[in-house]
Amino acid sequence: MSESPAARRPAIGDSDESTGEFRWLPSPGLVFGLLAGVLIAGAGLLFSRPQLVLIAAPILVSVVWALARRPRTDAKVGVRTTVGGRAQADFVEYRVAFDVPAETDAVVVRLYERGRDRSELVVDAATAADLAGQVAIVHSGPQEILRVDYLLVGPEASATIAPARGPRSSRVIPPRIVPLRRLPLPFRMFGLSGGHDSARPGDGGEFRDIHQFVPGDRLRRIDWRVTARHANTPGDLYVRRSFSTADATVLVVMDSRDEVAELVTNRPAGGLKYDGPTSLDVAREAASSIASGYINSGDRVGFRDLAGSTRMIPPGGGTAQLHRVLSTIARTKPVGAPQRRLRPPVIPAGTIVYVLSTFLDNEAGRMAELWRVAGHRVVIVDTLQPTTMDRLRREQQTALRIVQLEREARILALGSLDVDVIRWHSAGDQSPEMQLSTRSRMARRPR
Amino acid sequence: MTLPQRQTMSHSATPRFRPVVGHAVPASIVRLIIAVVIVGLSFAVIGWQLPLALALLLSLGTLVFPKTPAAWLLAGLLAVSALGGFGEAPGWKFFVVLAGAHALHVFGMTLGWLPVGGPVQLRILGRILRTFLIIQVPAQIVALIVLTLVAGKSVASALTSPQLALIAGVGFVLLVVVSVLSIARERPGG
Repeated sequence: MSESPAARRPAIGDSDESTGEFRWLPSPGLVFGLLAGVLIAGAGLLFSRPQLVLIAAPILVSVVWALARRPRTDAKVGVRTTVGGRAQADFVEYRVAFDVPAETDAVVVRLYERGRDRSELVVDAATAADLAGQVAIVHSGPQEILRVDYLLVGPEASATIAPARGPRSSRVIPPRIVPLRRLPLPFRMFGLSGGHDSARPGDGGEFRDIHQFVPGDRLRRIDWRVTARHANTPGDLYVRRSFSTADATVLVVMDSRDEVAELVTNRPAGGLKYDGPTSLDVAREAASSIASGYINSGDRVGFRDLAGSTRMIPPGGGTAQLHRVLSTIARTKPVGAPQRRLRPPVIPAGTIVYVLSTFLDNEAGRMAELWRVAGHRVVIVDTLQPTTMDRLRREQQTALRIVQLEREARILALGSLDVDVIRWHSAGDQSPEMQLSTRSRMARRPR
Repeated sequence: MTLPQRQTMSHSATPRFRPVVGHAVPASIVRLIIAVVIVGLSFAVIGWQLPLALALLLSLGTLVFPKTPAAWLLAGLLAVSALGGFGEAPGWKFFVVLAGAHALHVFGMTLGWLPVGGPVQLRILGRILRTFLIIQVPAQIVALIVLTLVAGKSVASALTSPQLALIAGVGFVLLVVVSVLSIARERPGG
């Protein structure tokens, strides 16, 4: 079960505008037509052929008509795009409004949806004043939704403006959030309040034991029945003691250093051409779901990006923290050449660390290993989609198999260190919810 | 307001909802029609003769490189091809070339900005066609009058009579008046 697609849409009414003043450029056809007309008519006069003059006449009249109607002043053009609004599932509505001069005969509109799907249309000025369409949302994260380029055509095609660039509308698309009810907890919890039982005595938790009253015990904790049954001397009092409650501290570590699609041939940088989910889409979804699940349970969640220290949020709880974490996760994007860390970031004791990565290199695995060795509970989330070998040559297939084997070896090595492994792309009985639920039932003590 | 219409991309399974522009025809169809007209015109006027190769080459140039003067060179070639010998009366080919040369000029002007794909509003194409007819119909009538008066023994004279010439003349005057009024009304600020 997933969150309603409506939550994935950007805010309604976000608009981008561009204005410009453009010179009308005379069509070269006018010159060619004039030359052709004059030459044909001249030949007719020269060789006493009135038919040629008659043939040249409509061409010359057309040229003169177009010249008479050509625009005299520069074209002032305003383009406004509005992105967002109610649409079908996983679609975002957009509107494009052109404000063009009255002498415009046609507007050639070129729309680039999601930065790549190009479509062209030729409309008159009235229709161009309100164009509405929808863009399919395939990926989460920061992305270009719509770009508008255009060209104005003057009366009788006598003049055009040079192709102009209109506004670019980029938005951050929030990822899907999968509701997670049962989540693994850290080996130790240090909070004084929260939704989980702690191993320490205190208030709010389950029954611990009966103990003789000592100074500092609250009077309301005295168990009179037990006191009546067990008191040996006057003044003996017995109290019921309970465990305290605690909250878990969770750190979500996302590896946004690369973005990998299902199609291996689509992996090189320079824009994704594949419409399926990428590793970063999966990572954003997993990170958002985990963060939401914990914060909704009253726990404290922090966020770190392995690609750099700029996207770092210290652990905290509450709705404001959830918004902060979700917004940061939604804005993550691939980083070109990150620096290698010498040591893992310092994190609070008793933290459960989620490392979300494709594990195509050693860095994320090395960090996970160091955190685990330091005594933290570590859960790694594999965000790589199942890879297809379509369109690969034999040597490329061999190379891919080697990379996959190295990756699996890394994950197996982490598993042998008591690191929990979650495959986020699995479905059915092995869905992420089920895998996390199973881990949540396991003993909290380190094995 | 125009409502979006669902379309499917050829290279991907992701559906698209492009803006709907009312009555429209794909630009590729417009180009195809223009190609058929140009090639048909070349065949009709020149026939299976050597200049046909040049005409087809120029036709290709018109369609592929619309910003070159290929369309107007083809108009000139067709005009010369339709001439016939000295003293020979102009036949139907002359009237076809009269319209064809003008059409080539319009095609040359249009193909310069017409995109390769995507819908083109019929309203825009209708406007181009209307201007063409406003100029072409009087041109045909004037040609008929001129040929009737000048080449009395021509094919044109065989097709017409002095009464028809009178009617054509009146029609021509009316068309000129309508054209002038139309220009005055459509002119910005006019």
